[in-house]
This record gives sequence, structure tokens and C-alpha cells, in this order.
Amino acid sequence: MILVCGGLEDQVTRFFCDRLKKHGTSFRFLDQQIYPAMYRLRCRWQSNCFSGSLESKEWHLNFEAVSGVYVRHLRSSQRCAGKLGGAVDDSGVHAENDVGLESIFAALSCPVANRIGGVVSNESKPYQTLQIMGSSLRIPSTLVTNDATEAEEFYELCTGRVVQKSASGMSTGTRQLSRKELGQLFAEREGPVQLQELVAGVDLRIHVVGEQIFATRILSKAVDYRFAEQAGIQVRMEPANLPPEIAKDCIRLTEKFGLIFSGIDLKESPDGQFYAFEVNPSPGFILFERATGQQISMALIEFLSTNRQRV
Amino acid sequence: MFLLLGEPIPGISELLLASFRNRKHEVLIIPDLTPKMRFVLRISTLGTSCELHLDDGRSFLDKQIDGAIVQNPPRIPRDLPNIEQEEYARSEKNATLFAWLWNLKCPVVNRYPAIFWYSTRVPLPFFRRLLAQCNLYAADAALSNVPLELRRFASNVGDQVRYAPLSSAKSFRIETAEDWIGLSKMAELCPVNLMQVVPPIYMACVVGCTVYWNKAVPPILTDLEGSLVQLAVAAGLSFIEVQLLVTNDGPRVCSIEAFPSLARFDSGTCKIIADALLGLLVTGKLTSSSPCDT
Repeated sequence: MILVCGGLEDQVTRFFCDRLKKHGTSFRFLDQQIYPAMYRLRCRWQSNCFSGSLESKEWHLNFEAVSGVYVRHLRSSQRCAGKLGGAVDDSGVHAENDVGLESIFAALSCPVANRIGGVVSNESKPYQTLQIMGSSLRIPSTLVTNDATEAEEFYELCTGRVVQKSASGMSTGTRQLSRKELGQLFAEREGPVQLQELVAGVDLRIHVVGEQIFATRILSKAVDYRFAEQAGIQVRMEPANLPPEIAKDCIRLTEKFGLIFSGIDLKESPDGQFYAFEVNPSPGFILFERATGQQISMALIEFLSTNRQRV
Repeated sequence: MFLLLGEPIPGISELLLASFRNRKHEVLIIPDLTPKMRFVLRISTLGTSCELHLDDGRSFLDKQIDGAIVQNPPRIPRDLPNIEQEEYARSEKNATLFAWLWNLKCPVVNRYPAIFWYSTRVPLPFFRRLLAQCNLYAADAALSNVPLELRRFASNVGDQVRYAPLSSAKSFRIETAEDWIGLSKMAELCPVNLMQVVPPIYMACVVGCTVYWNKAVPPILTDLEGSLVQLAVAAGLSFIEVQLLVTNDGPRVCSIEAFPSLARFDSGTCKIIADALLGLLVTGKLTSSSPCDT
């Protein structure tokens, strides 16, 4: 039995639930929009042993019967407001609810895609970059600074081929900077800015499910293909193959960050080098699955169905 | 040069500073990245380099830092009026500070794994698997939004329970009928975490391979010192504070603090702990990188 935790307002969660239904896999959906009001939760930790159950109007789930969990926490704004009409801080209540759920997931011995401990690594991209070092993947030249002069020098060094992206998990997209924009960036901000050399080549998105790899090649002239269609730029995706060493490194990195499911952003340069950008712990895989027919969701369903024990 | 990074921990920071000065060590105090300092972190396949330039003209390369003690990660006060505007800037700074902390080549206490840096609090259930690995037991607890289930749990543990919200370090004794009414109201909003708590509570502070207690403790607790050190190592930390109590079933851990406040330790013990922290940096004997001899 798979437990899905999230909200149907999130299209990835909705897609995953549809695939579970289509595949005929037993699952229970914990709808965070109405959690906990419409559920009865009973959990106990006694002498380091965990037991518990979750009950909705339609079903009763003993946590022992869960073979895997898929989690995409619903944003606070998409949930029911607190019952006390503003007397209680909703964000505090939501935080307590989320920590409660994560406490249960921490206690389960089955795979969870993904536990919070792995997810938070994505809150610092330069930290992730440091962790990627030492693998066969290359690291694009990166500068994190609040020093405009240093940024200018970096810009020169990269012959003007520089992108700016968030250092934190609050993504604002990736954009190539002109010299004027670079100056403006430092005039507007006092905090640090992350700059990166614009690596030439083809974007790849690698989805790792346990030890399975799905590599997708993204053909687009956009600097950030996620926003290409908004800018009227064409995007085409196709399945790709990775050299075995690169594939192994993607699996190793996923494990290193404590994940069982990840979306890794790579770029293959014209000289055949593979550059790593980030490891996404909650990948919106449906874009890639729809475009290529790669069965990412099925791999995940199978992985979460087989009740592998956590080591 | 030693570095004190992050927001000061009241009561400890002063002792650490005094301890550094007594040993004639120079200390650089960086509570946060500010516009007055210039910070540069370069990363590439070939390696990394980091520089810090202060407005008084002093500059530091990473290799000039001999050791670092990390205090609390800077956070935005929740009552700030323009919190949304601040949030992005704050998260960018914290991402940078976190990368800096992991790029430091010197001994660091604590080189926090991401879960600690990015959670306002890591609650006890997250440690339960580690506790079991270290032959330690966590206090019994129930998490439920069903009032009857909470009552049943309390009754099973002799009605010695506290309401311990998972996202807060505070806890509240549940004794009176009024307490139970309040708890039931709370359970309508979120499942309530009830924990068995049998006074007295003892505090252990692990520094590297040594455990310090806040008061005289029975041998049944001192016997756990090896396990407590093992717990810190397993969590990737070399400085933690652990709350313990003794039930009829034996010793139980009821809280683990990755950002120790030492609030329940007397000033003499705090001073000894501050000296021990410095000792860790100076000798480089950090449990996370070099296992204890014992």
C-alpha cells in the first residue's frame, strides 16, 4: 500500500495519483488541504517501537501496511485556514502538522520519496555544488559574493557568458546577465548573489528512482528551458543515454543527499563533459514524462510498492 | 584566527570569547553576512576558495581560519512587518553561510547537516532511529488528534505526561481537567504530541568524547555516556545537549538539542564546557571526523 501525501491542487501529485489508479496500485491519499480535520491519527512510540494508524471517512490505514510514501507538501496558502479565525497563527499550525507527518515518515522502515532530511539540502545550491565535487561530474565556475568588483572580474573571466541564479531554494529562474544588468543587480541588493559561467551545451534532466535512471535531453535555445515557452522559444525533449560513470554518479549523489527520488540537472558540453548544477529533491517529473513517454512515475510506483526495508 | 559564526547564544558566546582570549587566540565574530563586509566564495571543478574582507581593512582567506564554532543560524523575526520581502534576502544569506560553513577546511563545531541548519527545531522522533542504533531509548510518546487516544496514552504511563509540540522546544505539563480541555481544543487544529515525563530531568552536554552533567546523576545515567557520545557522532555533531530522565523501564531521552543553550547548567560547568569546545578546535579531535579513542 502506497501512501501519497500532498494536495490535488499540485499537478504532480494529481498526476501521480492518476497513474496509481491507472496501474491498479493500492494507495491512500492524505489530502493536506483537509488534514488533519478530516482524519483521525493515532501514533505511539514505545520503547523505540513505532505503531500507528490514519483514518479518513472512507478508509483506515495501519502504518505497518505502508510499503512506500510519496510526499509533496502542499503550500501553506493552499490549505484550510485555522479554525480559530485568526486567533492562532496558521503557519505555526501547518508547520506543526508537517513536522508531525515527517516524524511519522522518519519512523517508517519503508522508502519515502523523500524524507525531509534529504529535501533540505536543496536550500543551499552552493552547498550542493560542494557536495557534488569529487565525482566525475564537472562543476561550472561559480561565484557567490556581495562584492560588485569581484563580480565584474568574474564577468570578464567568463567573457560575459554569465548567468545569475538563486543560491537558496527560493528559485527565481536562471537568467543570462548583460554587463548593465550585472551592475543593476549589485545596486539593488546588499546580500550575496550567485553567478555562474554559462556552460555551452545541451541540457539534461536525470531522474533517479532508486537505482534506475531516466535521462532526458532538452533541446532549446533558452537559457532556462523552464520558462522557454513563456518567452516563445521552442523546447523539445527526448530520451537520452548517459555514460555508465555519469549514471553511477547520479545514483551516488541521490543517495548521498539521503534521497530515493531526484531530478538532477546536468549539461553536456560540446567536448563531451558533463556539468552538474543541482539535485532537485522534489522533481516535477511530469513535464518530462509527458514529453518523452519515459515511465518515471511507473518506476516510482514499483519502487514504493515493493516494501524495501530502510538500511 | 578562530571564527565564531552565527547569531550569539546568550550565556555561551561570552564564555567562549573569554576562553579564546585566555588562550591568547584571536577571534573573528561574524553573526551574519552584512553589507559592511565583502564575502567571496569561488567554486569550480578545480577547487574552492573563500575570502572575507572586513570594513576595518582586515581580510581573511579560509586557510587563515584555524577553527570555527557555529552558533545559531540567523533567522527572521516572525513579527517583522515586511517578512515576505525579507524572506528571499534571508534565505540567500543563509544558503551562502551554510555553504561557507561546509567549505571551511578547519575543525568546525558543529558542521551542521542541512536538516539542523534549515529546521527551526529537529524534534525527538527524527532521532529515534539513531537512538536505537546507540542503544538509547527515547521517552514514550503519542501523536494523535483523537482526545480519547491521548487520554489512554497518559493513563498507560501513569498520567505523567507533557504536551511537547514538535516544532517548539517548550513543553507543558498536563495535569488538570482544564489542561485536558485545552489539549482537546489543540487537537482539533493539529495532532498533539504527548510525552511521558518523569521528573527529575537531567541534562547532559556532549562535547567531543566527553559528557558533562548539570547535576549529580545516578550511575544508570553515567553508564550511558559512551552511547551519548556515539549519538552525537551518528548525528554528525560534536556538541549537543540531551535531556534524560529515569522511568521504571530505565533511562529515557526526552529531548536532543543540536544548538545547545546550556540554560540549565551552572556558570562553572558552562565555563568548563566553553574551554572543552576550544580544546576540540585546538586539538582537532572532532568526533565527526575522528572517532573517540574510547
